[in-house]
Amino acid sequence: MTILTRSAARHSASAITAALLTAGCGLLDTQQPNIIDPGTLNSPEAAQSLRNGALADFAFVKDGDGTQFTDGLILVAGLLSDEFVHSTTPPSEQEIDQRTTATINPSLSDVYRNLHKARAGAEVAAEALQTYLVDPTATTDIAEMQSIAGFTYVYFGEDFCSGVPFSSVRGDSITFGQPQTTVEMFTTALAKFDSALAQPGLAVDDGSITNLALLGRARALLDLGQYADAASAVAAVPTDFSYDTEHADSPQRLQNAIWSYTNGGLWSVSDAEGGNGLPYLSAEDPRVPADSLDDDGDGFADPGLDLITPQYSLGKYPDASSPVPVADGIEARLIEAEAQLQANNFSGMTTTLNDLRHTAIRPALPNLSSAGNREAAIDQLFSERAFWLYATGHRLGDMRRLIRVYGRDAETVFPTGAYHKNGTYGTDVNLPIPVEEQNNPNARGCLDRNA
Amino acid sequence: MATVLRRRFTICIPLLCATLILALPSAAAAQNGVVTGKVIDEAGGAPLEAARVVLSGTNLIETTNREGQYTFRGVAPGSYQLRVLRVGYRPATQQATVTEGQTVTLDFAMSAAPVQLDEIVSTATGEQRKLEIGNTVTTIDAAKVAEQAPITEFANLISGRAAGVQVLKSSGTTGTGTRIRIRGSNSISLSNEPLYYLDGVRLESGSSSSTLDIGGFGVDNPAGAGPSRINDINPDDIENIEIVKGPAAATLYGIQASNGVVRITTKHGTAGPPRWNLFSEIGAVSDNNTYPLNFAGRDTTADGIANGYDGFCSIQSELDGACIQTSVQSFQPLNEKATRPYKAGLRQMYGANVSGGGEQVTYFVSGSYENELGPFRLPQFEEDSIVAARGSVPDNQRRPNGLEKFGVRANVTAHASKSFDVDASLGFLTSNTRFIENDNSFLTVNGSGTASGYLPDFNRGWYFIPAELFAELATQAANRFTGGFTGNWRPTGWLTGRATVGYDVVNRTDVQFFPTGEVADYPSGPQSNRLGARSNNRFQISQTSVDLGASARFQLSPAIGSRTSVGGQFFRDLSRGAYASGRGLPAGSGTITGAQTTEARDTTLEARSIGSYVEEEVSLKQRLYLTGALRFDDNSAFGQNFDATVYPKASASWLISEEPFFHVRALNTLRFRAAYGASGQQPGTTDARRYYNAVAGKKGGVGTTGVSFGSLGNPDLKPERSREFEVGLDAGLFRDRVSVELTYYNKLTKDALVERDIAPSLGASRSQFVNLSRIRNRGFEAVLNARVIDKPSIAWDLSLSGSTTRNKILDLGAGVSPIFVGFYQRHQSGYPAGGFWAPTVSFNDANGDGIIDITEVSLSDSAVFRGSAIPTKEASLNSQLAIFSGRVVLGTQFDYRGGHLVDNSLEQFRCFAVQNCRGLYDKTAPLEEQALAQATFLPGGGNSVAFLEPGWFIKLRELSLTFEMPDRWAHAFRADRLSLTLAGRNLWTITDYSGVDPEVNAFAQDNFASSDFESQAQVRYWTARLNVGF
Repeated sequence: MTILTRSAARHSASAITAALLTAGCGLLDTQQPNIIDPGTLNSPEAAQSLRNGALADFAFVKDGDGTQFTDGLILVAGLLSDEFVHSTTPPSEQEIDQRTTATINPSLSDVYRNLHKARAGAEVAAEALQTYLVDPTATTDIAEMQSIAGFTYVYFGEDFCSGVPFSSVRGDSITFGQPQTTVEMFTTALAKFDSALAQPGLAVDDGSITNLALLGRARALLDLGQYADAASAVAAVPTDFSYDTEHADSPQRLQNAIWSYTNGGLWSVSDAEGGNGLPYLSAEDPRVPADSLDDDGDGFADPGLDLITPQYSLGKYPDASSPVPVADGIEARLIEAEAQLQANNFSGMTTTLNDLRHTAIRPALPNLSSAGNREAAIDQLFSERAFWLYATGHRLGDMRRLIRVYGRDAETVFPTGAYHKNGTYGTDVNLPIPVEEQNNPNARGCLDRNA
Repeated sequence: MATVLRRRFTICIPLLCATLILALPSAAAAQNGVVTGKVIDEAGGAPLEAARVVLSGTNLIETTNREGQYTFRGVAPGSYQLRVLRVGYRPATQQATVTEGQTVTLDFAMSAAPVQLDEIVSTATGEQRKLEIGNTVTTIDAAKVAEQAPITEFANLISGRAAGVQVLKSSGTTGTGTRIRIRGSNSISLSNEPLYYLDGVRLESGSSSSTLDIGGFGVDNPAGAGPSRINDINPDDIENIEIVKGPAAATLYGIQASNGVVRITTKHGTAGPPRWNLFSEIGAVSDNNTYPLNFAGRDTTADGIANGYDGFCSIQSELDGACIQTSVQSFQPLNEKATRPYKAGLRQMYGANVSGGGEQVTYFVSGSYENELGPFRLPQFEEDSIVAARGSVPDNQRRPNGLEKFGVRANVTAHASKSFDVDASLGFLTSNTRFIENDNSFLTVNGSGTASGYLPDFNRGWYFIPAELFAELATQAANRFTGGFTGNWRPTGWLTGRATVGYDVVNRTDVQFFPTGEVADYPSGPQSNRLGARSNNRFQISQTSVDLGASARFQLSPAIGSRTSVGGQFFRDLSRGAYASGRGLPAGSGTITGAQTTEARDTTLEARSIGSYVEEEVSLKQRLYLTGALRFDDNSAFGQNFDATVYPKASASWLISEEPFFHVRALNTLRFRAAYGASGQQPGTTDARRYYNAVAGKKGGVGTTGVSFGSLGNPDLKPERSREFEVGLDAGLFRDRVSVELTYYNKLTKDALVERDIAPSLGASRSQFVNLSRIRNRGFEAVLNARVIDKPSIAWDLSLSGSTTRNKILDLGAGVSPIFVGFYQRHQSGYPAGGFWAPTVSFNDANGDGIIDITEVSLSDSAVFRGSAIPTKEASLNSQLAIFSGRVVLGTQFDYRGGHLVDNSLEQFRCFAVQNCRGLYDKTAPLEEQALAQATFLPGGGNSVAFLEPGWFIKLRELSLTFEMPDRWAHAFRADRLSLTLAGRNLWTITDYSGVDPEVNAFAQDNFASSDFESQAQVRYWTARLNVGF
């Protein structure tokens, strides 16, 4: 509870006036139990509260809001990529799906702002833990917060255009950040993971935070094109490892919104969207379980809320409390496979992928045949990544890497041509920086819209 | 709780003065004469009730009773002037000489005059003649209006009766609220609603007082069209309403008064035997609107069906060769008799009041009961099917919208002595309102009817059928107490003091219930309401007000008079609420208990302010009045770095027609006036604070609690400051049969609070309040009142009022990028606040085939300013024709608004999102209609192409016919008076707007956002009202 107090009182001139002031003018104090004064957040307990808040905000932005008022990053990035098609009505969401996102798009603004909030919250929490914990060397929490912050930089780099600034608020001081290029964002992320891995508290780790930081490091390295380093970073991460954002049935803010959206007729699992998309439905792959209804018995899938788009609900997250991976051992193996691809060890890559198909899912998936050439190997690897990592916030970054690193043309990677609800697809390959960032005097919008 | 003393010398000196003045000993004087008499209408001889009789030099004022009688008792011997004043009549004056132990009888016959400067109005410093005030004040004779016009709620009393006052009713659904704007919008981010006082007590007047999620938009406004608390007031309890329009006039009301002040005075008793008034009103509420047809392009070929084009074969799809239009079909379930979910609802209202009293105590006690069923009704075929399945249909499902109110009021005035009286004003209301989903939702009948992509062979053309929509129960129960005690003290002929203590509290319970298995499957899937959901939110919202004031009048010389006033106020606004909800209910359950998931939270908001004023008025020969004043305010919501604020005021009023040199025959009254004043608007309770919020989380399978950055705050936050200059004249022509009131005002808001977006990269809140912008409102107001015919047997009064408002953001603030509002609205420097911005659509049927394909349509490169979202012009024509010596009165009100655009988002949505608008499918549709539909599918068009249309309209807002029955008829019922009024509301509309109704707003009572999107259009009322007086 916070009591709002006002500036120091002025001394009065006479006893009568003072009495009157006491009776009539000392009435401006109010009770505001709904807000928490930052000045009270200066204890070990408060530092833990900041950590818990940062984790909640991170889950909120990554996986969305069960109230369906705020779209999450996985949902928005999945919409722009080939993972989901829009099956409800708000035009602001549809334009993301259609690759024509405007900088005034409210869904874009929400996810951009909330991702920064999660980043800043994790950074502040890491500092508070370092400052206020009695023994900061005896906890993995600082490394965890630094890793979470690192992942937010990865998400910015993978999903947004070049030019995202990173600002900060510390006490009464506000620092507006300068725009970072895509490479700079990944480099910053890498530094965050390296800081996490250097935390002495990891000595007491059961492996989970170390693996989280290693996977984050590897992902940033992958984005920077340092494949061998990425593979070596995750070599020790077991395949069954997973660090998840956690969810619950209530409150709705804690619900898994990927479940909520895809099972509520808002987002539909796509199938070869815009010609170039992967066949998530027709492949009938158990890694992307999807289902539809035909209540009207017309032989076609019932539509989503827009009454136009056939609705295929995702079964990967079966309920509101389903956790969503941030990083897991499957991704570690996929990173190793990509390093093999980069080393032109196509058969080794396929072997790695097949090992995963045998060990990471039950019943096991049939083997893939060895890719005969580099392009086939690229297709194979990225398809496997897309199915394994479906709806975890990886696909948009991968599609951009297909263009940026592997030389594919954007119009052979992203959905293109006629849009399923009239009109045509645009040319976006990433999310722009929303117009609100112009309130940062250093902001320059997207430095470029390239992949 | 820590206590912090605030010492504000400047504020408290006037408070001290007021207290000391009030503490002066009473001067007892021997007073033993009586002055009595009767006041009648000169034309018909009817007694005039509520006329104010002023005994000059004593501060004594009496009000005539229904028989027109007044009495002053205990008047000290001497010579007096009696002046009788009444709204709508020319003042009358007589001399009286009182001697000890004798009764003087003076009767008055008053002649009608449209407007009088001698009229007494309430001001922040007490009661004053209009003549003394340098600004315009509109007075509405509410008692008369409520009796003779189709008044179904408080806002109707104001609508069309005051120039410069816009009453914007957002929806036709029974119980929904109203936006009221006086002289435009002053604030970008704070409320633009005026302040309300009832008998001196400040009222809670939330314009959308609800947490029911019945449509609306976004997290900030989930409630949709909630009720406006101001409509809690029973119009039949009101004697008059005074509207103080802007800072020039409202300075002394202090902080929050920059949007104007509405002062409501309820009826009070007069001495005499008990006099009863009963009324009974019965009527019908109906939807008479025509809704847009849903179009579908059929392609019944095998390929068309297989490829999903049957129903969606658009003009463009056919041009692209994707399908073949085998037919174009249209249907609208909202228009078809069999499927319409409308049927006239019954409106009933009954009330009684009694007033009277003796020499020491007078009283007015009233009670009323109101019951209104909205225009919605379950279609018969659906009722039949439910009855067949379940045996019966719950009333709330058959008629899902309605309200019930019961109110009582007791006003008691105790004349403790000749110099002191106490007035108690106590009102209680209990209401229950049943809402229907109203805006922006497939769960509205409008949304489900107009957004359906299906033809009548599925769901009878509905997206969701009315039986499912109406099974939802959304109710608000409110109990409201408004009480105030005012002490008036007149220790001498030159000094008056008053003290008012008031408390207004609303206890509100908002319950929303989706019975398991009975409501629409929305949102589909595991979150569906059909699985059962219930919320139960309880609020207590209160306002405490204390008002002290004193005035002293001196005659400094035979020509120069002085009036000095001091006073101070304290206000406390407190809102406490608790939210509880549950989803996933077992069938048959009607409680949150046992729900699959539950949530709870609570909220407390408190704001306090304290202020004082000092005012000096100097009069010269009772023709020229000069006033100067200062107001001091402080508030709990100001930033740490900001101290109290001071507002000045000055005005002049010159009755030039009384000057010896003035000789204009036809112009019998001419007054020039000018006023300047400043006022403010306080920030929100926590806007200045930097703070964190508590958030729930989960880690390691265990629930956690944490903190998350809530708001950046602003320690420099101060009130926004509006200053206004107004100048005008009042003229009476042809022996005051015609009156003209002209006013020009120019209002500038500086340091306007802007909820500016902050750079999201800060990782803080979405926005921050800063005192940055400057907004100007300026315009003209004109009122012409005329008694066109003035004969004993026939009288015709016309009142034409109108205003223009030009709103402009002069400067949004350095570094502030345009602020986006609603769908296509912006706050941007150099343009009206909340104006519409969108790219323009160009088209050219290049091949001349009468069809617009997508290549023939283009958008401008960027959004351009398209027009104001709020009417910039308004006018009303009120007419009252009284015949047979006033026995029959025909009243009409025409209401015009224009100079603005309406966003027909419903049609945009139908074209782009659900794809059932005519422009998509019908090749015979006008080219512009086709082009707009096509434009939504251009890159980015779905989110930027706005269907903006001129929003002007003229409505026959009111039509009434009142029969004042002959006395013998009344006497046959042992009554003194019997009248019958037949009235209609919203009867006829002229407009170019292609949507259903240019008045609705899916953003409900939002500050600026405006859109026609799935909201219930205005409905028609017909009522019959019987008034009986005993």
